[in-house]
Amino acid sequence: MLEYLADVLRYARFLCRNHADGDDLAQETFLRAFRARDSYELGSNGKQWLFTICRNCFLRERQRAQRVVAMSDEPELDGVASAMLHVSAKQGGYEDIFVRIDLAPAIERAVAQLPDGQRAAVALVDIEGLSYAEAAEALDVAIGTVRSRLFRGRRVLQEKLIEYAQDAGLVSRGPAEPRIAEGRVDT
Amino acid sequence: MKVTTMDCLHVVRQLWDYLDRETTPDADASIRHHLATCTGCTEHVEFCRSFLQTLRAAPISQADLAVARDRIRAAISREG
Repeated sequence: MLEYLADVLRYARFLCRNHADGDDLAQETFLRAFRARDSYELGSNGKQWLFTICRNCFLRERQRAQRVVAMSDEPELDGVASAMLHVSAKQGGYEDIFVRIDLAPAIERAVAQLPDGQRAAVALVDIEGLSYAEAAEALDVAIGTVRSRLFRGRRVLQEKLIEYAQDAGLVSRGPAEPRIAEGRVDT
Repeated sequence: MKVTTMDCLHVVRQLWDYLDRETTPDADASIRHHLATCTGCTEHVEFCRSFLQTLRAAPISQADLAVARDRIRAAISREG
């Protein structure tokens, strides 16, 4: 199971928002996995199994109820908003921001600022490459909830990374928000 | 497989599902069909694709991994 150490460590750090607590959580995860090794079904998804243990440890150790995050009824609108961010980026001359600029210093901090549910969804799907269904199982929520949290989290992250680049003077400030009209996106 | 015409708004509403390969085969084909002729949507998709690639490249140092591995092995051996 230690072949998944990097994945679990990264996920745990994202959940805890800092390295020290995340490293402790990762250790606790593997300890619990070791204790529960008889319940692991050979051939099943070991990484997903570890993520489930990790999340359960995290929730247990925090000893507080999961915060309910209000979500749009239409997560797809967050996809539209992401497209709008691209329009702003294009008009501001930095549409290649994610290719051209090293945003690594800002990513961890931006992810840490996300609400718990969004952070977990982003960590599992975007960082660790799980499908929506696998993430839903690991988080014990519906697939629709994963989509809502993921899409919202991505939009917030995009905004924060662009803000970081603007504050650092790496790109210019964008122009006014573009608009959507009659089923087409104005570019 | 049914390929239907999809307008820009429908494409961007399914942008994340498409990039995550979570669309149905029919929807996937329709989106690809649209992207083949729509520069604007293609640019939206590439912008978001590059964002995901940036996220997925979030590094974790080999030194951190080695320390964590040692800690876990030590903890497990204490368990017996």
